[in-house]
Amino acid sequence: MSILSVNLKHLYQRKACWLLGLFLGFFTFVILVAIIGTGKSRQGVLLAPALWMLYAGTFTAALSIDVLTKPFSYCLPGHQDVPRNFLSFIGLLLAFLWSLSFFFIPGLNFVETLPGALAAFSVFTISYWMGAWITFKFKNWPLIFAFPPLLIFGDRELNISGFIVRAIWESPLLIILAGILVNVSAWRYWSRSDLARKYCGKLWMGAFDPWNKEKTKKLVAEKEKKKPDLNRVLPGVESFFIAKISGTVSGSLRQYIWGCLYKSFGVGISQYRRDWLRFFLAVLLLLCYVGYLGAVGNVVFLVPVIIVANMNLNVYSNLLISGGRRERFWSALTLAFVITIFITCIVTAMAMLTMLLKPLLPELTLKDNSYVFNALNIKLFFIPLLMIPVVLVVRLIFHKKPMLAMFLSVMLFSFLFAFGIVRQSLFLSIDSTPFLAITLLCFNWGIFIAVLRYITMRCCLTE
Amino acid sequence: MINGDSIVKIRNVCKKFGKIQALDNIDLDIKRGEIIGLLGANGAGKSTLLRCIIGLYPADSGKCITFDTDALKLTPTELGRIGYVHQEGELLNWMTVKQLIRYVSAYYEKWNHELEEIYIKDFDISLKDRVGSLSPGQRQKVAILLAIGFDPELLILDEPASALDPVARSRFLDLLLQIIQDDNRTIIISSHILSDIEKVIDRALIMRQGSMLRDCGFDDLREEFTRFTLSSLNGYLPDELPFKNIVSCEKNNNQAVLTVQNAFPEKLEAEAKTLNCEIDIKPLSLDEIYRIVVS
Repeated sequence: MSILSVNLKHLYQRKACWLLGLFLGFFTFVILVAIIGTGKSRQGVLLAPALWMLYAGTFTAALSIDVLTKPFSYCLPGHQDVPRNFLSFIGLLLAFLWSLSFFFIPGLNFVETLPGALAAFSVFTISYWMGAWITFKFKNWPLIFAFPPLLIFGDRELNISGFIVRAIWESPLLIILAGILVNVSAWRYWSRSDLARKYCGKLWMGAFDPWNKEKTKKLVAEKEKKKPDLNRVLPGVESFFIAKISGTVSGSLRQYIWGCLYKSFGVGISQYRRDWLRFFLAVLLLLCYVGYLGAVGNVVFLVPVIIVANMNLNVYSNLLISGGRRERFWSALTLAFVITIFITCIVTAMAMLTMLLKPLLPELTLKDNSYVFNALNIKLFFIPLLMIPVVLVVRLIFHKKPMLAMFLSVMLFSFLFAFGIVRQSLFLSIDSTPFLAITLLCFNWGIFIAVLRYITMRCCLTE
Repeated sequence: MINGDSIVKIRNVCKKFGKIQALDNIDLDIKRGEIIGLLGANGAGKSTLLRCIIGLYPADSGKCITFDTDALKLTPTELGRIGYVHQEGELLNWMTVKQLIRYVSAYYEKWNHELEEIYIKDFDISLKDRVGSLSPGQRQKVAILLAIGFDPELLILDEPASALDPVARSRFLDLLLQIIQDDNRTIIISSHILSDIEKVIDRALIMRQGSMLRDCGFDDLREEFTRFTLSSLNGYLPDELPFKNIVSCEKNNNQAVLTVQNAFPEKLEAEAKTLNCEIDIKPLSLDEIYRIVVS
């Protein structure tokens, strides 16, 4: 088997690609139905395949960079052009397939459709190359996933989709010319002789590398080298915790609980003390944004819960200090309680802040649409209390795959929302149906404690 | 319960990971003051056995008693007497080396600051460096310091020198020789670098596929196998040599190199004399013995 075939086989057929394929496949189906079912006049539908192509471009480029960074891959003689050829082949093929869907639009004959399909092909390739370029150009390319809400907002205000549709049907030649220009530029950009050398052997966070613990550690270490203050514990914070650990009776439970809190919060407290103003401003900005989103803004109560899914309870550790299994159980349980109380306080404070902001923030009007600032529903403070034990159970079970734990937690929430369980149980909330709310709370925490106890007392405790 | 000086007693311990039998009916007694070499190929079950001893892994069946306590129920009192260096080298990456030493030492009533200072100087450890930025060798040096800093009674070293360079390895062995001067200290070393550990161990455990292939004193093991060169003083050697328990034999017309099991040197010399041959007996290294045993 040639080196090229091995690279293609191992890297473009990664298991996570199937997940991505499933994700893109689902949207392909939805978009196809929309295009075929709605016809030429409908605006907005064409924006969907263009967006789809943008994401396909980012992922295909990310996979190519994954391969490029491996030593002895495309830096070998005769292999330098493979990324360009691979990107072009995938991009052109996908754009071609998407533009084919135009021929299924009811009520249009071949001659009417052809210029539109060619123009759409150009739009799709432009979108695809833009995605690929973003990935190659910016290290923080995953931020592109924050793009759709902005695009939807922009579409509502600026009618981007209407513009694209008009351009495709009314000025196809211009679009085709723009497409040719972009494709030629892209071909030249990815034909650069220094491309392989630039990436070969470099540490790079690949598309599916958040799963790779070793690589993540290396990347964090690299970042810390560049920014010495990053993740650094302040001397005062360290002294406080060390005094607490060594100040208690040796071998007592309190000693391990303090140790566990130090491991989990030492860096966080230090960073917060350094950057508290930036942190506060970021929260304020976020609250202003979500306040204008309406009821959807209440998702703020869920976000910290999902972040907790990535939190290490220090149950699994190879570093042997003198704490036994019992000490691991109690310190992990204390840590879980502290996190829950802390997050509940934070989200409650945020909700209260929005209540204070409500009379101060004006109603915004943009192109006939008015946006009113809404305070967060403070009754939802119950969400973290109820849901944190659930995500911690997922994290404990999938401790070796934190990203999978986070993904499962997000899936779980989506599922619960889909069936309205969380919304109902919490909008019903502590004041309207206290019995159900408290029963659910006890049930979730009971499950968490049982799982934690089983793992700490009966399972292997190494990383 | 443990009798006499045994600090670890393992009875019929089995452990499976999926379909892999990591430990298969292991029986073992470890006495106070022993220096044990735990040998075996990758996946032989060495690390699993060590982790069962300190209670990080529960056995599927059987009993593992450490310091008179079920290993799963070890309390800070017993664990405070055990030092452990693990092969993965997991440490707290966000701390500096100094912070990590302060953090770990805070858990122990007694911390040997004198040893810490000497170790840091000898092994050229930078206290200001962040643990996450250390090379694998430097991490291992720090891990060793954390394991020996509180003068543990039982020191478990799982591949302690695998990431060390030759100079650091030699220093580590010197340190180990110093540490074993304490008669009360028990050390279990698992290592692939057999030439290193044969200088310090007095008992050898050889594992293969989860089973204990051999458990004996290192001197007994060395005496069990003998390699000698037999040179004929006049003419060819006979086709069949009269030695018993031959493990291996490389022979040409007038010279043969044989490895035999359970043979006394005096008897070998006497038999060589009857064949009118010269005999040159050489001791086998641990590496050679290990190869013979596992083959």
